[in-house]
Amino acid sequence: MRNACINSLINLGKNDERIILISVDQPTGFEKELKEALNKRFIFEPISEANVVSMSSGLASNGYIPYIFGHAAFNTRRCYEQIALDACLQKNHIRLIGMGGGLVNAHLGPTHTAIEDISLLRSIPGMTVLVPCDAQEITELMPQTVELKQSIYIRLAQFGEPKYGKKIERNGNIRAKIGKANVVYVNNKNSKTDVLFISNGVMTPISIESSMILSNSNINSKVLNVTTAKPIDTETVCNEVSSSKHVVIVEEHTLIGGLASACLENLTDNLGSNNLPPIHRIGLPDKFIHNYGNQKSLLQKNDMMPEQIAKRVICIVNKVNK
Amino acid sequence: MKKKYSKLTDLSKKITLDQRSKYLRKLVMRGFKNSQKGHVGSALSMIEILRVLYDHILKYDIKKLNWEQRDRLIVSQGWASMGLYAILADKGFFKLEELDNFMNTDSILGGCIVKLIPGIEATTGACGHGLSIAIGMALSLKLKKINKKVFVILGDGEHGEGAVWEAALSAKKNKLDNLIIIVDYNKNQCSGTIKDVTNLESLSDKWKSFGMKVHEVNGHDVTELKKTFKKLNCNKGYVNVVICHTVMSKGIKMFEGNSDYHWKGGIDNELHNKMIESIEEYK
Repeated sequence: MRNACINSLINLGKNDERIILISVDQPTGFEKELKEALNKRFIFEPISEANVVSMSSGLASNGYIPYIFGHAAFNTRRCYEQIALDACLQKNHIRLIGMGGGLVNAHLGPTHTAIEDISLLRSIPGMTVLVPCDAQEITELMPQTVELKQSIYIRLAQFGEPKYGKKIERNGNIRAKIGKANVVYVNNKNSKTDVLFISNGVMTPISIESSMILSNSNINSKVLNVTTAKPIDTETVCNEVSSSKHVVIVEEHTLIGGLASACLENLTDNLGSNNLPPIHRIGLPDKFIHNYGNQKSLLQKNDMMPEQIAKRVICIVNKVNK
Repeated sequence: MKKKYSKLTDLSKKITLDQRSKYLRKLVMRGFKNSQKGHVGSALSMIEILRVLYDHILKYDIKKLNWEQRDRLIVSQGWASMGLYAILADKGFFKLEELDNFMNTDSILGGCIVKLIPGIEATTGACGHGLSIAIGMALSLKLKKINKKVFVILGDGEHGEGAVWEAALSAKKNKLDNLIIIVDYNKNQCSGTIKDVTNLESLSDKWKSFGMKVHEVNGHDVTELKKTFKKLNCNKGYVNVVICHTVMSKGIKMFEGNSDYHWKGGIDNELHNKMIESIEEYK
């Protein structure tokens, strides 16, 4: 996902003098190519997220489009005031690329995991929050980030490239679009949906696998990929939820303030709490994670891998049906 | 170094104010008459710095606020807003009458500086942001090959913010010789003296150790300020820092040098009249 993101920036930056990439002491893997494409517009800055965000706001105020490349954990918590006051309040549109979002840096522990980043950034007025699910999606999204007249947080979460696990074919020829949620997978096109998964980031391919597993139990399900966590595609989310028997929102984030919160806020505002099917949230608990390992092992530990989610969903469906 | 610090601190206390300095201070008081409260201390300590910049140094055009060829000034100590509003109103960026609405619900002029006000480059008020924003602007001018300067006025108390020193590293590394850092060194902050709360000395040595070219001046001496700013050697690969030794609440004898007047509430008519009187009689 990182490679796809940087490669897009190289292509965009070649032809657009306004694009600047500032790395907060993070190797991009493409230093030579970036130097060739962006020249003086590719800058390494000291480990100083607060300074870099304000500095980028200064650059944006004079017509540049700065992309800040750094750790999701540090690019969000460390410089929160700068993002709020210098970028968003002053309409200096910056792009924060958070590498290693979610549990990618599990091996380094709670200082390096970013599991409340979406909640933080989503609460700032004028912020767009993107949580792409794979390399293809980030490639489709990057050109759209150039002209958007808002600051953007792009959360990159790994699972490597190519795509996670077995190759998952997307539903038709869907193209990612900022602000648009898409149904990316349907396990039985001919029947009414028993379970609607709502997810983003790496939880989308995981939800797709869960959905595949559920078809063995004759549970019809589909996956709605909500790449833009803010602003939420209210219309699509409401429509899909209204036509489903159960909704399961899955996120690689604490259950406070992330995708589930965003969906529930929009659903209650637009449909009313009495008109909703049962909605279940699957995510990380409201606590610092003190385990290590890797992204997959921590998802496993939190009952969030495909088999585990499928089991949880079967329980939910059976319980309600009784 | 200590000798220079003491000498300039004494000189800044002793210096008298001419009619223009008094006039600008009375404009500041116009705002406080309405709000009956505000950051009096630093609004008054940076008056001569602002006066010299706007009267003699900065290139700007009030009819073309976004003129690319303008010099930029960022007042990082955004709480000292009334000082800046006074000179901006005086220069015609907005009507003088606006000062009478200071801090009103629908006023354009709030307690801290915001970019929506004509003539203001950046919203400030939270400590330690202005220098980094100025760095971004200075870098953008370099990239666009626009030979103009970026001035930024820092408060002394805000040097406690780590971001100021992050920015110092970045300014030096990026060789921003079109950036001029000005420190309003009035030796007081919200909860006491700088010496007691932050202990900045030697401030000059600190900036020098980051690779900056440091100048120390009496921040109320208009002639000296003018001379210093005019003589700054820019485009030489280093960042200039001008430490202006100033006096908190300069111009109101009963408040001078006292951190109790960093913020002052309860400015009723009686107190307001006394403050005006003090400015008029200042020697």
